[in-house]
Amino acid sequence: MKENKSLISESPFIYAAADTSLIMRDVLIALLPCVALAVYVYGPGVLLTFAVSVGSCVILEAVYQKLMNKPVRAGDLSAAVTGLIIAMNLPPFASPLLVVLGAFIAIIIVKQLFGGIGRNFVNPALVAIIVLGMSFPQEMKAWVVNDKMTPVIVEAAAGATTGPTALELFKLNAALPSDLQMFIGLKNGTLGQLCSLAVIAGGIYLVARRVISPVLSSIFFLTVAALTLMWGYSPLFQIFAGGTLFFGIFMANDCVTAPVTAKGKLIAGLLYGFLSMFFRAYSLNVDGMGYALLFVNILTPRIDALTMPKPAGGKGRRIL
Amino acid sequence: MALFPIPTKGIRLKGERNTAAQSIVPIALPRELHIAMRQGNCEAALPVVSTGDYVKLGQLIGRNASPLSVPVHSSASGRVAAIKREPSQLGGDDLHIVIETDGRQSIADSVRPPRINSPTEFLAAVLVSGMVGLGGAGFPMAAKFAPCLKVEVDTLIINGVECEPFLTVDRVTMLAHAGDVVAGARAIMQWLGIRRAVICVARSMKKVHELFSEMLKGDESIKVKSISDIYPYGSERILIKQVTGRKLIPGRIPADVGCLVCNVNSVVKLQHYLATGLPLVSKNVTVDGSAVSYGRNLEIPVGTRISDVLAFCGGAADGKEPEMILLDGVMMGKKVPDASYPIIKMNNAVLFFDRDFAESLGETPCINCGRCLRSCSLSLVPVKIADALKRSDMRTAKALGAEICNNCGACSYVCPARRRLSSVIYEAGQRIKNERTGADNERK
Repeated sequence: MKENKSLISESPFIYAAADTSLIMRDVLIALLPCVALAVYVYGPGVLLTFAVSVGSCVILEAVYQKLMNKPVRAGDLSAAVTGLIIAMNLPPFASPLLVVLGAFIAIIIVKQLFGGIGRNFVNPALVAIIVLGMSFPQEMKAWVVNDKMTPVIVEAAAGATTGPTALELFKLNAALPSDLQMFIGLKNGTLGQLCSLAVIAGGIYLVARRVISPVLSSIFFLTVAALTLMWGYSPLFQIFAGGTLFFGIFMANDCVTAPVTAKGKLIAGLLYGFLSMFFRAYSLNVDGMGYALLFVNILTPRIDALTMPKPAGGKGRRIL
Repeated sequence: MALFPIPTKGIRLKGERNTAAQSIVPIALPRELHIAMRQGNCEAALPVVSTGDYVKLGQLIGRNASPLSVPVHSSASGRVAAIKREPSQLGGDDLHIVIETDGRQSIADSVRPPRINSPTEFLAAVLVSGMVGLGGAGFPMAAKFAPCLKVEVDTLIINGVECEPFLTVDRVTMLAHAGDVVAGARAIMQWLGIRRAVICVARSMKKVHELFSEMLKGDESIKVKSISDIYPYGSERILIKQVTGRKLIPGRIPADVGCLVCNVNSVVKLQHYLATGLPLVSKNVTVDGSAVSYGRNLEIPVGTRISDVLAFCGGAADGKEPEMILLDGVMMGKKVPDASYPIIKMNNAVLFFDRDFAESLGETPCINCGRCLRSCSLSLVPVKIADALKRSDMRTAKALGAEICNNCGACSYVCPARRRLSSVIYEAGQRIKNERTGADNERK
């Protein structure tokens, strides 16, 4: 019997617009407010950090895929997102060598050696930042203060170009910026920590575009607020200080390393909130967001296994 | 326990309903009809006419040779020009009776309203009518009704949800033939001993809902219910859950949970047969898509070729040949290679598009976004099933519930990696289902 062609084509015949690179493009767009503010505060020179980070991530991915005879997918913008997120966690004028090293750790070691996009069990940018932070603690804390920033921070820097971040002031029990200054004011720290408002704007864009679900981030922020309140401080400070916002929105929601179900996201949000506040309160590390997220990333497959839906009809067993 | 009592998953589609204002008009009778012997998900009928015979409208031309086949009737009067094998939209090829129509449409003597005095006679009449499920499943209606006499069935669900985009034929039919829907429902309830009926319509069909509520005022046995405009909320399993709260576990049919689900067009056509005796010889179909000049709802004689449908709708838009011809819808339908294929009883849409949307899509690696499992109205985890199937691990696929997949396509639609999840899962699910049925039969 002659093979009938009509059986070969499979339904459905229409598709949602969002493919992988469109999702990645949305993440890049969501990061634009942060990029714009960085340029405003530090001048166009800071674009070098972004360019080196994004460029080296994309090039490293393309070169690796080419050498390994894999399909070259470096253009799907996922490497660009990783690059931009690494840059957002660096001080303003990080040495290009440092940036390239970060890109290498993220793209080659964490992403490609584990099988490429979708296969990495931890967030590549996260590992890059942690490794750089441990290996080059001085360079990774080369904050730059200028007078565009919130007055309390400028005073604390006392004329010097470098100065403590709001979180470091908190550890030193020094005078802190007000909640409003923490929310809309500009603060020193990594490029992504400049302005809380810019990060939140990006998060709202991602939720509106349905790239991320708001569950994980909101539960995480609520947990942080509740714990800070119990700790006896204004609940908003810990949300706006350090990397809480940037990690909570842009890094904890990385789809490869976050749980997939709403229930799973809820658990991850709670867990992340508790762990990060624990690290902030008791560890030597000032921020603690990165280490806490590393734990959550590693636990994600377990959370997923616990929260997988059961097939309708209820007879199926959860198998993972 | 589930967080929500009813499933809240599924996807929101843009839901283009360009033909919603087009009432059903009959198509001009084509010169030639190619009536297939296989008219749905059933076995083929056997021709009982030969080349050169003169046949009348409604005359039996193919008899049901097995319990799972349905009789086929001529949809026009004319001469049998040929009986030959032609490719079928259902795959493979199939005997087609080619009829040269004479335009007189003289009705066969056998066409007279059936006399029914008992449930068995009702089932016999349903079989004689040549009815198959018209919602897209195409299962012989008599075979679907038969279990209702053996087990207690208390709810008749009439499915007018029509969640498949582009289709408007069900809502237009309900507006035009609301009385027939109710009368048909009453007949089914009477003969199959079903206490209540629920007419399910989509929430967006406000006019239809009003019409039925008005008509059924004070009637306790038939109700009308709105279902969310979420795809695929018109599927059997979900409607049963929404109407009765009962769960259909793998391996069971709706009758096992006391339900019978019928498409509105099936009910209308059945009622038409009970009233006039004219078997199922024409089909209401939505014609739409970017590559057709006029989208409309048509009553099409079974056996009309797609090319005739296209010509009646003003031909291809811009004079260009359609690149993609779909039958039954963009989500669950099928593609046919050209316009020579005839319409069969189970078709409910013919869609013409100026490009093949799937052509430029390449599969990329899964990014674990979870969209597929959030889209699955049956709470499956498509990506896990597809991964299990990739390593030929049928046991895991079975444990993850592959066999309840109804190929609604939501997971493939949302997948940003463009994986063809639904078709792979559905195919494996059908294999598991058949094995189960095979094992059950052996036990018996």
